[in-house]
Amino acid sequence: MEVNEELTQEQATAVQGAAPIIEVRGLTKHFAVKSGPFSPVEWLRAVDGIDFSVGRDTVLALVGESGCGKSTVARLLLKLLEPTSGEILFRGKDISNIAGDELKKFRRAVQIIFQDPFASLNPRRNVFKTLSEPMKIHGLVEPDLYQARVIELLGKVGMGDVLDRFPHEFSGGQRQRICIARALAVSPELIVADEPLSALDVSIQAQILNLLQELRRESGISFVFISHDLRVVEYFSDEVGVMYLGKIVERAPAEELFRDPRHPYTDVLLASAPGLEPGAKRKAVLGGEVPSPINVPTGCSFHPRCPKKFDPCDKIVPVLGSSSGRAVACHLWNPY
Amino acid sequence: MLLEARGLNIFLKTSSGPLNIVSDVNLQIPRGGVFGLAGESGCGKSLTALAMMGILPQNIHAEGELLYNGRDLLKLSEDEYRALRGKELAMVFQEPMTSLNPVLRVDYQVREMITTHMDVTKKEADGMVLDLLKAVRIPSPEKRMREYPHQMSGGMRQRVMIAMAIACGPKLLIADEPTTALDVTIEAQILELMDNLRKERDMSVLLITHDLGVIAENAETVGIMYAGRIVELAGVKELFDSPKHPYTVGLMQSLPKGRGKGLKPIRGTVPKPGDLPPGCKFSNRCDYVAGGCRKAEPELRLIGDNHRVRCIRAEEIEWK
Repeated sequence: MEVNEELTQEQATAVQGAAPIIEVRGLTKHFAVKSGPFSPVEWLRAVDGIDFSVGRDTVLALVGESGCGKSTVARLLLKLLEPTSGEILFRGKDISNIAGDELKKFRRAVQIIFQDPFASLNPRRNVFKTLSEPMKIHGLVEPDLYQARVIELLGKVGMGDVLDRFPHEFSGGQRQRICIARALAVSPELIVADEPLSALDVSIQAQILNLLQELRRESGISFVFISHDLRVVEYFSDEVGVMYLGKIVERAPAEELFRDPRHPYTDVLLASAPGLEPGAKRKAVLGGEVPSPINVPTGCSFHPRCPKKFDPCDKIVPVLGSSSGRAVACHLWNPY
Repeated sequence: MLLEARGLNIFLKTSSGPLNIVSDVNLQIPRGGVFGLAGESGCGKSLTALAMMGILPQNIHAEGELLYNGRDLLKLSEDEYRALRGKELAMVFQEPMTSLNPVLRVDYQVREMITTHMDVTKKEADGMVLDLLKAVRIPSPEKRMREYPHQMSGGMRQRVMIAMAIACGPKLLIADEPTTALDVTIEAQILELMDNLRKERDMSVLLITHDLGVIAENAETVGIMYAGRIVELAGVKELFDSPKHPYTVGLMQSLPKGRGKGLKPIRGTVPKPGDLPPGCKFSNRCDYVAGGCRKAEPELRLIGDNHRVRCIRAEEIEWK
């Protein structure tokens, strides 16, 4: 009897393994903004209809410039914001209407690491309290085992016995390690990391990046990794979604994307990243700036800056098609 | 040399006496050249810049010599310094939102710079403001000059900051992390703009950044700082082709270079200024540390063509 049960459980995991952990369909978030007390309400299209899915043990990176909506996506994935339309499926189930136990389960399974480790730890809580609280809430460990578990977690992120210390006693890198330990405390299935390295110095970035890589190898946690640093993305992610003005303009396996970028914006973004060649001037290939997401250009939202724009670009909105074998939202690659 | 620092030391007043936070900085910025100063936060690169501008906070003071065209800046009276600042020496800061006045229009702030240092009428000054905003490639400058800083994007604000800095034709432009707050595509634009302005106006630039990529592309001579010291000083090509200080090598190995290529971070964390190890200040994080390293602090010694390193084992260090 028991054997039988175990078998079905195994089968269940096998099925789960094939299905994505999280799937996003037509996700949209518009914010209402008023520039003054008497001005009309305008809509800021932060996220404008995007689709992606994250499988087991994969890292999906979302890259783009500030204001492209990548952080809003992070907040939507965590159910910290409600989408305007579209759905987020967690293990095949829409999370918009879940409540009670199911919501709690979801909250356990999806964790976040924020950008600024100085702002995301409670200054009045010592490390033990910070790390044991999630276990308490989710009742994952017996209370008398909290301490052992916290020490184990700290060991995992490369820190010693610092249970009684407070956030102000640590450097930025150490704080980010504590934030990672906090995310790990509830054994999540997916971690959303929103620019986890950008507040850190180069040498510390490499330490944290190595740590994340190790955790991934050990635990098979999936990541949605949000970053503007292309070098880091190339190193850490399996799949990349390039965002521009609330839309994913190109999505591809990391290797392919960096070897052969298809969308003109991806191309420009890669060309703009500084290399380490002395004297090799990168060209400021892209003129202008990202337009306001309140006034999104007609047609392809990238057309006013695009070096390759042609006839239909300012009229027809390109869709993220794959007629060229790759997911690109550009008329150059998909016949309109 | 346009500007030369000789034995520059910077001290912070503390209750237990002065604390040496920048120690024995020697560097030379040639006329029309770009000197890059790189290092992680807290290494003293910004303080060095503030000392050159004579705008160190009250509780911090500098000693040594800062020779600008042969004149020691540290010996100037406040009035003499004020005449120089803005006119000969100008600075662009990292965060363009906090360094512009939010309640004044852009044209007012740029014009103030001009009327402070030059004897011109308001009308002439207005014309100059417009020319400057054109020079920094602000689109439709007639309209944008009437805006407030909050109406502009980060890139536009940084352009305004640059316009203010170059308003009086300075000889030296100090740019402290000028593109750190900006997106990559905008960063490329701003760096290109600064490079063009430097050539057009025959300025020298002191470029301060933590980003080695920005240094590699823009600087001619590079100083790498760690814990208040310059640990390596070399021409840009020499430095990136054969770095000789373990810290410089560590920084380069910390940068991801593609998929599957391992990262080798520097272990530990940057020590606090009051808590530096004896001897070489990098010895507690260094992979090459030997007995002698902990005894005496190494000199910044010449090991090759204009290549100076503060490490006793520099010759043994292999890169790649």
